[in-house]
Amino acid sequence: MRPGWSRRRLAVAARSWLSTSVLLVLVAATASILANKSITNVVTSFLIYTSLVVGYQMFMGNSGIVSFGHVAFFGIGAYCAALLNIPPETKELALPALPTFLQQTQTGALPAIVIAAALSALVALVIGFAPSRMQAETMGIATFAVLVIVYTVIHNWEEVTRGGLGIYDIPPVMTPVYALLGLVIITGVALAYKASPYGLRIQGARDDPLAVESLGVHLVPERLFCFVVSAAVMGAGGAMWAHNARAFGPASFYFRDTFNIIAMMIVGGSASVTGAIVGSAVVTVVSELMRFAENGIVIGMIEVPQIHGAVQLSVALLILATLFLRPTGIMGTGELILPFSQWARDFKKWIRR
Amino acid sequence: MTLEVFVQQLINAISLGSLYALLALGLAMVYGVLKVLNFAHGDLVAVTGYIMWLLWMKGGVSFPVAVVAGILGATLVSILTELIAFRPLRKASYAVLLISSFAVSVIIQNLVRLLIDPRPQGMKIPAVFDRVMIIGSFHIGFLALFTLATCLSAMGLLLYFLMRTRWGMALRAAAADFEVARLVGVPANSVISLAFAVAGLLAGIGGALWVIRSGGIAPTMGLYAIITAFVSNIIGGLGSLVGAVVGGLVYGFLDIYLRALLPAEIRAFVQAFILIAVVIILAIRPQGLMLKRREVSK
Amino acid sequence: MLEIKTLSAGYGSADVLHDMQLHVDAGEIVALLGANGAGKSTLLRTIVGLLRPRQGSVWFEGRQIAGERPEDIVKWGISCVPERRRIFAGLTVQENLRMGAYAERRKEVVEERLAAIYKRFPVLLERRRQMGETLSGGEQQQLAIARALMSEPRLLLLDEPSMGLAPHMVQLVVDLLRDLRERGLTVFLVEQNVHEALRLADRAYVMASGRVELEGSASDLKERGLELEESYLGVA
Repeated sequence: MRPGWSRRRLAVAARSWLSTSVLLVLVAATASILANKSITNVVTSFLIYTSLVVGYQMFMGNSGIVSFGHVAFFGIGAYCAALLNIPPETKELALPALPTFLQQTQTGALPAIVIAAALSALVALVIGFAPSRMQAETMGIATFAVLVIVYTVIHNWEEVTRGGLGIYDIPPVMTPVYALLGLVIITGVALAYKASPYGLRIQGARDDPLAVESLGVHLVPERLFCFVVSAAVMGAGGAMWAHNARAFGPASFYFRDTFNIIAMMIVGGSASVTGAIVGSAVVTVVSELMRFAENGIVIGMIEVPQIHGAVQLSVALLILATLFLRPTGIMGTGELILPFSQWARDFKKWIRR
Repeated sequence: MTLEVFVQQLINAISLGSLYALLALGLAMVYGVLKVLNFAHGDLVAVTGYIMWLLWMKGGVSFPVAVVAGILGATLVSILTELIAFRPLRKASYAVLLISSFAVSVIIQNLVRLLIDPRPQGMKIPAVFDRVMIIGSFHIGFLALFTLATCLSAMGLLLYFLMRTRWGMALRAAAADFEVARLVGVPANSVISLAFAVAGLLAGIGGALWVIRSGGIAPTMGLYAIITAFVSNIIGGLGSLVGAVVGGLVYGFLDIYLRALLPAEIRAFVQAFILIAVVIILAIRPQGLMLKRREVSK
Repeated sequence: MLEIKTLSAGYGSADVLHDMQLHVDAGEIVALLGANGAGKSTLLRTIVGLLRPRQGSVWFEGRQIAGERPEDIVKWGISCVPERRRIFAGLTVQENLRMGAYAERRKEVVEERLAAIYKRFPVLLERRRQMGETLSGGEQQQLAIARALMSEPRLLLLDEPSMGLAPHMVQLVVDLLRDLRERGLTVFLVEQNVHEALRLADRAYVMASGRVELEGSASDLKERGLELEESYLGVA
């Protein structure tokens, strides 16, 4: 199967990109205008985290394989960017064992992000080779091993990562605008991949592996390519995240975040890029609301006790509700396409009146 | 490595391997009939542990009774899990079932936190398990032998059940071809519940041993259990009960011997090394050790 | 004995069977012919309870069975020999046969049936302790049929029983089915091999694209021979 680049599919993808970007710009603009520090932070964090969800969606949505390992690349990207961009003075103090060239560099955020993405892609290429050759179900579980390997390395390689103590003092470069830019670019990449011949081939493999193989599609390279590209996106997202979080440790890149990201993707719609964004919003809102229950609140005279695990329980129930009631998620398999031309026409009509 | 150390480590390896094999078997039982990996299987270990803790440390109940209660609790939770999360999704795709089981795993972990105790706890283990037996120049831990004996007995009982009882035969037939099993009259719901019950029982026994070995419990302790169960099954070959056992043993051996052989500076990375070794095994034989080569696409 | 009325069924949003209508009377051997993809297996799956029809009904001995569970349908007297045999892997020949009688709980009854089956199928007696999957194609087909007979059905369904079998094995199966009919069994088989099916059956239906296109006695359909094969079965 040699589908080429289809102008029609690309046009549809472009329209989705425009629609989604417009929506995101509105969100970011509102945050900037409100000029409330905590809202700005929330929005920036949301936009960056959503980039990660989109990166994950690129793999799971297109290939249909549930990967448990992608958060590892989030972590690799974050640590890589941190090591490249933390001021040398801090590195001398906190990471004395670091090789000199690394210790004395401060590359700036953008190069750090690019290098982080590249490093993630490289690791994905090496470590993704074996899982790609397995049956679809087994590959997902094998990526588990990837997650645990990377976590163990990060947690124990204290000379480079400070292990469990965590790493700090990454320059707080991310603003809502930069985060928005990052998400828009990543969304574009995801939509382009989905519409590309690569995307189509792997979607075919997802839907009917035997048929697609008989048409000459080689599953292993396609899967590996998808794995590597999505890992690069996770790496870039991780790098951005590091510049927003400013300090973090290995626990940020393990099961809790794997769970959150999978939840966001499923709730929004695993086959849809816009779904990843919508799902991220929904799960974030639910989590923040339930955080009050988890910490215990006082409403007037009533003291509501701490409900341990309220946040995770709600998110898990949200996943189950989605799978039971609407397994394709909020967006289903479609992408957001705002009818701009129709709006333009309506607007012209309205002006002429 | 001296002969004494080698033999002692050998016994540890077989013992740990048999424990991993037991946990892997439970997972394989459910995979056999449903063809899906149940993420929540590992958390049955936490359920067992916390019930044991509640009864033994907080409730003053005798240790053996606490263990039995823990095992029964795990079995019950396993059956409930099927009813609540798998039965309604019977016709769903593999990915949906896997994610559903992931969600159930998180639910179980957090229910344990909510209903029993949110923090990790230590367990005072009866002193008998610390005993060391001295045979000639070899020092052999009672716990290692106990673990091995228990696991072998459990596996033996499972074998008897599968090979010599009507229900066991029905389970094997359902795992071989679920539809045709229904065609000859095996009730679908019952055989699936049975698989989950057996899985829960195995996980409970394995969980009790795990807690005795580790001396502590934590809500997320199921994580390591599920990692080993998953990986053991994949090493051995997904869908094969013998594969689960072989995979568990291989994992146990890798664990003990890598820990013993690695130089001290990198011993902390042992978990990563074990898994890298697993990835290498899978790079050579993606279908696992016990299965024949199959198409990647299936 | 078996009556199918206005049956429509399929997978997902697309129907494979459209308004199917056919019947099988007690003591008959009826064949359903059709090319690949015509929907023959889907029809069998619907009768036997693996698929729930979207519309229509399946009557067996006065009981509506459409949408019921396979494990119940076998108790009511219908047994199926699936396409490609589908022997239980990992079970011995004897265990396969015992599974065939799973719906019967009384041990003595099962043992009696087993003895009767071994008499009729001496090859299976010989190989009873072997793993089912080690048998040859023809032996597996015998095992599959024997397994289906262990539930003492009144209606036997067969999905392409001659597929992948050498001609002398096909003859064996044909003789076997004739003999079973003498003893009161009703047979409904689905086949691509028109020739053999029409030699064996009393009546036949021809199916294409999910509908019954032709029906008639076997002799009538045999006369139409070539025309049949070209128009409905896609054989040039």
